[in-house]
Amino acid sequence: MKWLNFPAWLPENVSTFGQGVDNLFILIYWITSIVFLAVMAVLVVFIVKYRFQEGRKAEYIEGSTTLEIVWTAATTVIVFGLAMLSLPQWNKIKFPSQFPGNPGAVVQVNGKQFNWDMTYPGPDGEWGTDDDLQLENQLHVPVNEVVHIRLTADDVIHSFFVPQLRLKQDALPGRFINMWFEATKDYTLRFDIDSKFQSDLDSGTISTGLLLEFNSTGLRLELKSEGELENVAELLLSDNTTVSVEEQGSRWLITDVPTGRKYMVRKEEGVLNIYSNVYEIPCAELCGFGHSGMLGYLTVHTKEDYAAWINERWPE
Amino acid sequence: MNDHAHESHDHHHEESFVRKYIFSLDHKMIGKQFLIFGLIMFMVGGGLALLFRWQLAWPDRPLPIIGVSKTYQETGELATAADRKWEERYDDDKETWLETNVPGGVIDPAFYNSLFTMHATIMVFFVVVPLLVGAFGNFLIPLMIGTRDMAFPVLNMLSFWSNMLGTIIMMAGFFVPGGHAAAGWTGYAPLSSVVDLSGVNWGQNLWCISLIVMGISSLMGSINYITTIINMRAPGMTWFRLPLAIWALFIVAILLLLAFPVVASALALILFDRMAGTSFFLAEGGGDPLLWQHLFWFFAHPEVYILILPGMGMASEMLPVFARKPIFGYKSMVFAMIAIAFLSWIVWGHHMFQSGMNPALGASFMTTTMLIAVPSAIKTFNWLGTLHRASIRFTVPMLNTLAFVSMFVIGGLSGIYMANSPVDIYIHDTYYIVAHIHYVVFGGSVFAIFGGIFYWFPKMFGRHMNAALGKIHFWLSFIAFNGVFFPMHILGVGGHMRRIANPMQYEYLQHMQWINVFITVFAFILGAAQILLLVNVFWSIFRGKVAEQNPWEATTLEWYAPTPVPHGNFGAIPQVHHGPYEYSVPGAEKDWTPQTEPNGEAAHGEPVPAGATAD
Repeated sequence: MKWLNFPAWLPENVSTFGQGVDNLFILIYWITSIVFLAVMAVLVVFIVKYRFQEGRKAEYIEGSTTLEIVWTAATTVIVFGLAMLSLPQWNKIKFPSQFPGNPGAVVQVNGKQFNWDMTYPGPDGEWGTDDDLQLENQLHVPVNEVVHIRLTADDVIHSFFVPQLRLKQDALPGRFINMWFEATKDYTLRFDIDSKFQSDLDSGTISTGLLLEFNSTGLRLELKSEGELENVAELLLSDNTTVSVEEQGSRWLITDVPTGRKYMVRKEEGVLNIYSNVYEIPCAELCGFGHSGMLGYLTVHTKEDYAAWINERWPE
Repeated sequence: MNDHAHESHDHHHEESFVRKYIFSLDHKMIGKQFLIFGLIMFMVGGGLALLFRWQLAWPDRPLPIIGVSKTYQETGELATAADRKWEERYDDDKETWLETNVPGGVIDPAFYNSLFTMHATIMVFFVVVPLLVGAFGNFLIPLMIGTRDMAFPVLNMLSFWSNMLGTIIMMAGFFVPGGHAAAGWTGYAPLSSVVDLSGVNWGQNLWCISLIVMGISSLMGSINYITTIINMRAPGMTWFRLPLAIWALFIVAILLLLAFPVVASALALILFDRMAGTSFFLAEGGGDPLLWQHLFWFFAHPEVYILILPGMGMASEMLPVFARKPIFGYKSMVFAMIAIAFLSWIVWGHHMFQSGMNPALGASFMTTTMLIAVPSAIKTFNWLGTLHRASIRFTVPMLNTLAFVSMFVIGGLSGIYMANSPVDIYIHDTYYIVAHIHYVVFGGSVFAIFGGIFYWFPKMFGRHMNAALGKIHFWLSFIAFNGVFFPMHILGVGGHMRRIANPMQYEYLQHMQWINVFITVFAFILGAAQILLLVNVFWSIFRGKVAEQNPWEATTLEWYAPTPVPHGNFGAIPQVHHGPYEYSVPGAEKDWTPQTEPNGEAAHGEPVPAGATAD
């Protein structure tokens, strides 16, 4: 019964601390499920067994001090234990003094009606200088590196939420709130490609071996070498979608237009990677009439990619 | 039969229609006024929910009936309607009300925000509080403690009529330019405190003013309840002989008295910010948006318990009656309610784990919040204990009470997820919390209200409600309720934010959209089922089976009063001999021993006449 299996509905976790959150979730899920089933079982048994029957009278029982003590104590122990177990996890995620150091990227995220402004401080590491880079709704970070975010808001309260990172933090006008995460996943699919394909890519043309084909379920990506089907990738797209394919040098950016989800097909070190490394950053706090649809995108790059991305913007 | 009551009190209370039914000073009539008022508002609040459920299931599709608008029929355009609306948002030359709020038959995003804001505001302040505290509080307190009326009857009347004034102000908000309040029932500043940030002008002002008026109404009620319960109990009605419903209402009255001034002042600060140019909640003016959240939740967490404690009390009344057994652990039930009330003052921060307040506070609020599980568990186990070795009669009130107990268990357990601050990081502001609050307030309080209406109806109106219709209403409501709110847990675990108008704008939510459709279908069934309740109530007031004095064979004092209850309630004030739940006392002839009869000696026939101190 998937309906009752709550943990199965959690989206994929891609952050280092996310597993800790999920584990607590699963632990509470089991505790509460067992308590619930036990209480319901007792309730049903009592309802059936002690239903009104001619000739049988209810028993006069006013209570039991022993039982009261037992269930008070048991509940107290369980909830206190749970609280104690959870504190380190909370501290790890939210206490600035416990944030891991040496961030691979530091970004200021500024919520405003109804966009996320991402500001990179540039090589000088200072915000508010000429070399700042400001992007709208695009957050680029390296994989497997700590990212520090300085969160604020322009107008009303927004909430920075990346479900796959298990991270949520309200953005407050007039305050800077620090948070961190470390993403652990940068790609979804990876193929080996042959040298013919590689040279095509190097020369900046889309190889004849790469076939992009749309069908009812989405975008079908076929990789052929010497006419032989080598590998197939299916990108599951939304219904009735339109897809834009943009060629950018030796890579292709495929956008699922209605959802804004982006896929990147790119050759790297002898392999062809299809990135779907774009996570949505919805706003989770009601922020006005445009709240629904306030959406940013988090792109998790490989380290090299991120370095290249940085280099493109601040050459040197 | 208590015929002497009629004789001694009827003749010198011939009142005009206005005095008797409108500006009544009688606690019973005021209770009934609150009941009818609350039921009507229940339909209004539910109707708003159905509107936005349509939008959530079929985003940007035109509404049925309303949606077949002229614009839509002429142009056949839907998708662009919302977009056009977006650009024209600040244009002043608006068309009709409908075209503004549902252009092309599609719910406008700003109107969507007003809809869920008003759904919650109405359900909390205009349905559950008026029903639980206003209707049952007024009707039951004097009857159950054995007195003739409230301590301050005029204040009581003013409480109802200021409640009506607040309602008129709140409803007017739908029709002012700029639309109604759209900042959520929590009204987070600065969205609620700066006109330009929301585009909502008088709607939000009226929302604040109305809630202040409603607060004054509640204050008048609570002062009355506290005074009445402390001073006017019948002889022999000691604190630990009070029915648990009265204990619950007493505790709730104290919570209301202490909590409402806080939110009233906070609402006044919002009004100052909006209308006098102050900046209590604006960072650039030296204020702080978090201040609002602290003030609001310092009120609203006790408010949440105001919404559930009377339900617990009423369930604790009905359970022993239909189990034919004393309540299990009476004193621990009382202490558990006191503990819940006390804890409610020191847990408000759990609404603010992700708000940006110091994370060290998050750690301590998590611990205090987790502790609430303890008294809640005590209550649940005691209810179960009450059923042990019982002789259960499955009447309509009992079915609703059993639903209350089991749904409250789900609501209580799902609360542990949010109380746990690391897990809350993920599920905060998702549908998980929506599921939780509805399991507590609908699954809990509203089912207790359903049961309570059915249970006390014979005493209120002198007639029975229709049991068959009551059972159909119960089963439809119970099944549809779970069909609506259980899947919301799943949406929440999937990361579905609350308060978004269109889930299809998010790629990661699309695979769950069918759940939204599922929920909406059940929401319409749930809404339709409530029509049965209304029909049953209004039909039974006039045509129901005439009720006897004590149809449920219950022990508490309200059943000692004659039916229909005359002005002044009792002939002579009864003498109370023991606690309220003396069922199936060994050696007693019948399986209930009214509080007016000495225990064990099991007097039969006429109730023992009142004590010497009466009148």
